Formats: sequence, structure tokens, C-alpha cells
Amino acid sequence: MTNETPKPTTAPKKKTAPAAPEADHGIHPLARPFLWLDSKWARRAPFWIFLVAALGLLAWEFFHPRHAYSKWEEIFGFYEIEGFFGFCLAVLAGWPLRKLLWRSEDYYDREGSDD
Amino acid sequence: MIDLMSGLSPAWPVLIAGVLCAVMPWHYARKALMILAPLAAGLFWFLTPQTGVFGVFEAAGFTFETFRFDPLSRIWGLVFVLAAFLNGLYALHERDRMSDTAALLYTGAGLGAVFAGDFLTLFFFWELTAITSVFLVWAGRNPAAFRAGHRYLAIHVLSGVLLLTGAVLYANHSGSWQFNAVDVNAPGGLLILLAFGIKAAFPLLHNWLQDAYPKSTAVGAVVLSAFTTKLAIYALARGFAGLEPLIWIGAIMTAFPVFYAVIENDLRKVLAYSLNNQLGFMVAGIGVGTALGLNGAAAHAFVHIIYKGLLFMTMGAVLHRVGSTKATDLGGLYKSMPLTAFFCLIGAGAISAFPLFSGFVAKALTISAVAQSGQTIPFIILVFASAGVLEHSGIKIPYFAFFAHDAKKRVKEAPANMLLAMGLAAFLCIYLGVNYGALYALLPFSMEAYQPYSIDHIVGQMQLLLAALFAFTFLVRFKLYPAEIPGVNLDTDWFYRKAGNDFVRWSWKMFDRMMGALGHVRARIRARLGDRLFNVFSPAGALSRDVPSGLLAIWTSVLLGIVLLIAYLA
Repeated sequence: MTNETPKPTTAPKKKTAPAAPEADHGIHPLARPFLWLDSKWARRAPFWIFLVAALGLLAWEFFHPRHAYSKWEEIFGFYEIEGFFGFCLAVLAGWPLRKLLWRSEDYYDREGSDD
Repeated sequence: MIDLMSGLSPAWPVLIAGVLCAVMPWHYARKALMILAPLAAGLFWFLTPQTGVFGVFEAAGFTFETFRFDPLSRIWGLVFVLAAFLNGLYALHERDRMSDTAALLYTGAGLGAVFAGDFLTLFFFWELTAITSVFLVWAGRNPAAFRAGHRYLAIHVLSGVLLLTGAVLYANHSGSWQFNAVDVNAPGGLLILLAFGIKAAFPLLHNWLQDAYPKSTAVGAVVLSAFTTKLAIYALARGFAGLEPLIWIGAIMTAFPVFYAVIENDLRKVLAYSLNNQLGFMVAGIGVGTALGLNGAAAHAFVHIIYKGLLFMTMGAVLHRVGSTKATDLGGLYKSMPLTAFFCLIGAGAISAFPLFSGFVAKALTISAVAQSGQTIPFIILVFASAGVLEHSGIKIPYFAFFAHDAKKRVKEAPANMLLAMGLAAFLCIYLGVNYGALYALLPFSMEAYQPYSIDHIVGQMQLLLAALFAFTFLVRFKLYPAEIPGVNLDTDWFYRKAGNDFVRWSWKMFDRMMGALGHVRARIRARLGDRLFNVFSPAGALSRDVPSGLLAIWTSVLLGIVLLIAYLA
């Protein structure tokens, strides 16, 4: 009895112990210096970096107005406005479009279709 | 008279290599051909002394011009040769005779079409691109690829038929088979435009592209992405430069794929939509038709073939190693495929037109041309589409494949030959962005006065890109970015894959029922008629009975009596 009881506790240990190094083995040596990309701060930082950079360029435009070819370009911050709202439009339109257009993966493979 | 000595088309060495590949069972010999043939084609391109028409011969009363070397065909020919070389490198690991043969013949056909000086030569190579490239779709070797290949072939053969019909009508009207500027209002002009439009994936005619390319192999999709649509862009630039509706068609082409790309889960399909979007910029430039616009289309086609090929290569490498390019299956791959991820980021930078990348110096021309033409709404659409490019190709492709959540796919890095091809393409993406003079020197019109790296242009482009990048982080942070989910999205192919298919099936069933009902009616008629005939003519029928015979005799006697009576009285 005393010999049998530790078995359930030791067995999972044996299985889980090699799991971590095994997963680590798959990482390419060239990728190791960049594993910080998975950290929380690295995922949050771009939001602020891009915000500051975009505002910086807006300030640049304020002091150095562009030579416009199109009347739209004369609007202050035209490219930033279109960049931000255009991007948002494209992405947010995905919600209703998906409801309208999405079908299951076998939609065309069902009997009677596409063959 | 055959005059092949004055200049050999770069198409021939590639086509001959393709034919040799078809009969060559040795893998390494085929791979050598795939590398050497583009090199030979490049040599022919460089050895051609000057612009002119070469390889002219007459047959059946027609003059065939197989090698027209002028500023427009020159740049397209060079980038086709370059793409063929990169494709050959990328395909070195693949043991597939059918794919090797198809890739070379397809490349050769593309070169032949670009250098064609007359409609008949163009038609021949136009159809050859369709017939050879379909084998690259079928190389996927699964039922879905097989069916997609059939649809692809049907649509492209239709394009060829329209081209030939249009060319016959047009030649009858103009008196010449020369392929130059086409009057769209002349007989056949619209048919030729439609033929080009199908191959260029105009809106509503586009879905063969997203249907077929992602179903091909890793190598097949790379090869397919280079030639067909860019050949159509060349044909449009040659035939319909300055046709104003093309500006609008191009603008729509740039915009609508952006919406589809956002909700698409298969990253190679996202690239196919992205391809559509990029073609739109070229079509718009052609529609403007000025030197700047046409240079924009040519420069864009040149750099696009390289960076789009690079992006397809990176996704091909992912497919090769992971077995899927669906965003839901991927993520975190930079940990196991860091070089592929790096090359993908360079391709993403180039297609998004970041300064110092090739896309920047090319797209600048097209957008400037549209802005200077006074087309304000198309200009707005093109700027919107530039932000859209960043969304689907600049962010979505690398983010969902190599970053985002870690899907724990620990695979090997791509094979060395794939990395080499991707590395060369990535180098060109940066080289052409930095040393843009090398690209501009190849363009059909002089570009000495144009300066892409003006402060206004750099700041404007960076404003657009940074604001869009901020929008991405904003949407992700507030969970407004739609999550990737497996599935398919309905597009125009629904009309023939579902509605048309169901209609044909319904019609066939109805026809079957009708034939059944007709058979039933026929059987009833036959039965009734048979019964009646039986009743009359059978041994037991009316004509065989005694009574009718007697009756006839009585009537005959009565008639005879009447006749006798009349005769007596008379």
C-alpha cells in the first residue's frame, strides 16, 4: 500500500517535467533575443508609440503646411484623418459584413454544391 | 519570312525549358532548367540591342510579331524574368514534374504575350497562360483545387474567346491586326476591354483570383501571383491608356477588397484580395493615362510582383511547415520561423509603402497622377485604400501568422532555398526603395523631374500610416477588432458556385421530371391507342367479326338496289 500511494503523484510529475524544455526546444536561436515581444508592456507600448508619433507629425504639419495637389490635401491633418477613420471604417465594417457574408467552411462542399 | 536572327524573344528559352521539363524524369535536371531558363531569358533581354519589332514571320496571310521590344514591354519583360528566377529558386525543394513544367510554360506564355506585337500572337499566348497555369491550381491535388481549377480555366478561356472575337471585329474595322491603342467605341473594342478586364480581375469579374490562388500549392500560388494579372495590366496600359472609366474601376478595385480582407481567415486568400487591391492602383494610373500615370502603373507592377511574390512566399513557407495558412491555426510563429517572419515584415513594409521601401516610390507616382488629374473622389478612395493595404497586408498577414497569440506551433524554419528566394525578394524591396533611380530608369517615360522623397510626401505618407497603425492598436485595445473565425465569405463566385450550380441542378431535375411525365403520357397514349387498334385489328377485333362483314354486305346490297332502282326509273 505504501509503495502504491505515491504513484499518482509522481506519474504526472514525470510527464509535466520534460514538457517545458520540449516547448523551449522549438524556439529558433535567432528568435530568442525577441521573446520580450510576448511581454505585456511590449503589447501595450505600440498604442502609445503610434499615438505620440501621429500627434508629432500633426504638429509638424501645423508648422510646415504642405504643398497640396488636391483640394482635400489642404485640410489640416487630412492624411491622419483618413488614415485613422479609413482604417476604423474598414475594420468596423467587418462586424456587419461578417453577419451578412459569413458561412460555414463546408458551405460550398455540401452535397449538391460546387461539383 | 522567318526573321528570328535579329532578336530572340526571352519567351523561347523558357518555353523550350518547359517542354523539356515535361519529358524529363530527373528532379535535379528540371530544377537546373528552372534556374537556367530565366537566366537565358534575362540574357536575351539584355542582348536585345534596341527597341524594335523582331521575330516577325508570316503565315496564312497574317503577320505575326513575336518580339516587340519597346519601353512598355521592356519593363514588364524584365520583371517577369526576375520573378521567374525567384520562383525557380523558391521551388527548388519541390518534387513535382507537373508543377515545374506548368510554371515554366506559364512564365514563357506570359513573356510571349507581353512581347506580342499583334492580336493573334497575343491571343495565342493569352490562352496559353490560361491552359498552362491551371495545372498550378490543380497541383493542390485535392477535390477543392480540382474544381477551382475548372472554374479558373473556364473563366480564362472565356477571356481568350472574347479577346479573339473582339480582335477579329476590331481588325475588320481598323484593317490592322497590330496590338496598339484600342478605340473602345469601335466594333470589338469593348469585347477586348472585357477580355482584359476578366484577367485583370475587375470588380465583379474578380473572384476567380480568390477562388483559385489560395487552393494552389505553396509554390503554385507564388508563381500564379506574378504573371496573369500583371499581363492584363500590361495589355490595358497598351490598349486603353487614358480611358477615364478605368480611374473609377481602379478606385473601386482598390477599396472593396479591403473590406473582404478584414473578415477573411485564410491568409493566402487575404493576399489574393490584397492583390486585387494593388491591381486597382495600376488600373487607376492607366485610366489617368498621362506619362506619370502610366509610369505609376508600370513601376507599381514591377515592385508589386516582387513584394507580393515575397508575401506569398512567406505564406507558402508557413503552409509548407505548418500545413495551414488560416489565421485561426497560426500565431507566434516568429519563435520558430524568425527569418520568414523578418522577410514577411519587409514585404509588409513594401506593400504598405513605408518610405525606403519599393512600394513608396511606386505608389507615389500613381497617387500623384490621380491627384494631378483633378479626380477628387478617386483620389480619396485611393488614399483610403492605402490605409486598407496597411490593414490587410501590412498588419494582418504578419500579425496573425507570426505574432498575435502563440498557437504553440513549433516547426522548423523554411527550407534554405525558400529563405534564399525570400531574402533576394526582400533585398529588392529595399534596394528599389532606396535606389529608386534604377527603377525609374526602366519606366516607359522619362522621370528625371520627379522626386518621391519630398518632405511633403514623406510626412503625408507617414501621417497616413501612423494614424492607421494607431487605429489598429486602438481597435485591438478596446476589443473592436473582429476575431478571426473559420468559415467562408460569400463573394461574386456565389453566383456560379451556388446560385448557378443550384439552378442547373434544379433545371436538370425539372427536365428529368418532365421527361418522366412525358414518358408517362406517351405510355398512356400508346396504351390507349394500342387498345383501340387491338380492338379493331386483332383476331378478336371489330374487323374480324362476322357481323360487321355481314353489315357491309347488306349496305352494299342496299346501295346496289338504290343504283338499280335509279337506273330503272331513269
